Amino acid sequence: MKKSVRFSSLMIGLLSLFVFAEGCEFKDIDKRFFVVGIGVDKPENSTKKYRITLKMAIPSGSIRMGSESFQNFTQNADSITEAVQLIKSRLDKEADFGHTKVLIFGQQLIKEDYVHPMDWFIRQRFIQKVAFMAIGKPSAHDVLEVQPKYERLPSNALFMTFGQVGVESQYIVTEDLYDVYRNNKDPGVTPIMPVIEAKQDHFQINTIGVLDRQKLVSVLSPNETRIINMLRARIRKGDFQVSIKGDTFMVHTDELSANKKAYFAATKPYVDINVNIQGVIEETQQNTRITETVLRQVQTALEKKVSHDVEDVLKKLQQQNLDPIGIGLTYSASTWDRKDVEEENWKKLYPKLDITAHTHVRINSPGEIQ
Amino acid sequence: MINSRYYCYLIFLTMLSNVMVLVPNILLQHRFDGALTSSLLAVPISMAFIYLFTKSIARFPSLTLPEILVKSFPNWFRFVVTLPLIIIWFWAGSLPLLAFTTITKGFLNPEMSEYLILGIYLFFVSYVACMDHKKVMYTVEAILFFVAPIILFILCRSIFEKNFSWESVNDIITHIENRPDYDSLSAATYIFTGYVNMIIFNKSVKSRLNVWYWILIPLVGTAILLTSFLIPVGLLGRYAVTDFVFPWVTATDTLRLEYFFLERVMLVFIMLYLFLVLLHSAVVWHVGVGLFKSLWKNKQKTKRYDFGIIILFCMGVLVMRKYLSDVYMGQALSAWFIRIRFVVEAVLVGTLLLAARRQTKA
Repeated sequence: MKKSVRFSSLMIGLLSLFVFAEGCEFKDIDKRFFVVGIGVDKPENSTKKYRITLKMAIPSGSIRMGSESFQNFTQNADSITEAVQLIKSRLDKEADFGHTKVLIFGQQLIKEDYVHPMDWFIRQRFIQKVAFMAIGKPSAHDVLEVQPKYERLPSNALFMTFGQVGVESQYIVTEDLYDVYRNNKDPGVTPIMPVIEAKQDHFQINTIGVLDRQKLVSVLSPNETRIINMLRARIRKGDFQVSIKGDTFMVHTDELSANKKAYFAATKPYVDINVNIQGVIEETQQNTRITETVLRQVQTALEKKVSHDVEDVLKKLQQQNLDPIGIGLTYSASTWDRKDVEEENWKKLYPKLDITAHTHVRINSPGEIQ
Repeated sequence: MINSRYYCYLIFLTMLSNVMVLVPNILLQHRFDGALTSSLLAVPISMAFIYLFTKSIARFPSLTLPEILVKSFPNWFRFVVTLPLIIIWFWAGSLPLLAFTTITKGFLNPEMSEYLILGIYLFFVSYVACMDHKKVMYTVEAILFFVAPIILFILCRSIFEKNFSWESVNDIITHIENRPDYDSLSAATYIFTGYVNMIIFNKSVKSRLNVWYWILIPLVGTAILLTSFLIPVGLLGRYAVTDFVFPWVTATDTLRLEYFFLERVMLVFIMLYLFLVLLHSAVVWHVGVGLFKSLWKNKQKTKRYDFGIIILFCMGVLVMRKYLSDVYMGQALSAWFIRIRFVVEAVLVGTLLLAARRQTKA
């Protein structure tokens, strides 16, 4: 009896640790503002380095579509810490960063530098490392200002989009904070970030910005974006357009996979990108009757087109010495040299590496009609 | 005497509780050099240690190390062995506590004073450490059964994470040709080192391991060793991983559990590890108290002595906390502990082997 009493009192004691192991300091929910998004811009007419925008959700009792309430606070400052402190001085409640899930860098700022402002995000323990990173166009502040009618909670539209809980689109690339950080440090990959364009009452997210170790280098077109998204094997659905014999066919894919095979030991080192696509025809523009021969022709034409597109975008990136799909990582993972030797070799090798793409397409059916 | 599976729990407890603190930091520092080779080499070395230790101590059923020393060696020899061991065991229990106090303060409760956090931890550790051998073992079993499945779930979940970079891990594997180094080797063998606690628990735990345990221990050990070292690499990247002060804490923060009641896996993970670390420290200090008590041979050994020694230990930790003002000093101290411990472990196994030899001859 005595034993069990002592043991259970111990267990209760241990469990009571949970009480003071709260996520943050002890403040009631009505004494907090939840910061749902942070934007970092370059100020227009000021000598300060950054213009910080904090998007604060205002807690409300009922949750209905379009009834969200939030307030944006902006502040020019030389550091993010300073800006946050100055914004706090305007509030009556404590700003809570536990639910900050969108971090946006303004287009103007990221063209110069993204590494220094990122330091604050990665160093703070209260910012989730899985927060979504994006480039704001025309500015981060404008993106945070958008209030879509279909949004129930502030910034929820962006959470749903990037979290791939709601929409699945081949143009939307998701990049987390830790992902950008680790790719920035790794000589075998270069980071990317999706570009969010602020419209009147919605967002448009169909391009990505490719970054080097310091800044934004180029923004890809929507078509290039979906090629990169496909090669990173993060998405399975997509649509492709192919024209043959005066008709244009749309092909919807339900299986998409890509892998890279590297032959670095060859006398002329090359990388093979293999893409596998399975899908159905969705639409024709001239109502061509799709016989078996036509289906085969569409298949071959699509194979050629995708391979061509892939090679195009990768070669373009290669010329700028960018590598968002991590061919350099594949190189390191398949050579047995010392770390610094690998780094040196890769620097020399990448600009003249031969990149080829092979696509294998299987169209299962012409849709519901022939 | 209780079942020999409790011997196994001692080993598994040390394995699990060191996944997060002490060991990975050292291994990750050497990730492009000898860490992987050392880890793989550590398995046979540790298994040999465990084998020799188990065989030797089986000659002395129900005897603790000090009693064995009295039996086989001159009297002064027991002080030479026991005194350094007490320091090592005190150190082994206090380092994870200090590291975890920093983690708790940094990630869970930044508003609370570190001394208060440490005080609460010390209270529970002391409480368990002062129980008798059997009760300590029952506590270990109960908490291990409660915590281990959830931790295994989180570990598996992190391997199947979409963004897990297998190529980073492959790159680490392609550095396997490097020569092993002493630091990594001593860190990697620390994973298996739970068996040494038997020097006191031998009093009431059977020291015979059956065939299944001999298969299970190296398998689980290798898995845990590789997990502890390669998962942070895959999640945080092969270059960025050493930028983080607590790689494992940050690594669990990169997991997203959409449909779970908590958004941040990190908080759950820290909480669960808290149980393991407190338990581990309690077991280690229980052994430390046992060794300390053995210094006075003929006095009556009552509970009061236990409490006195534990209070001494607690004060030692508070003093350590006072002078360890930053994480770097804590990590340097841990690194030295890991280095020294490996030698001490080897000497300890050697001594026992010698004692067992003399026992057979006599």
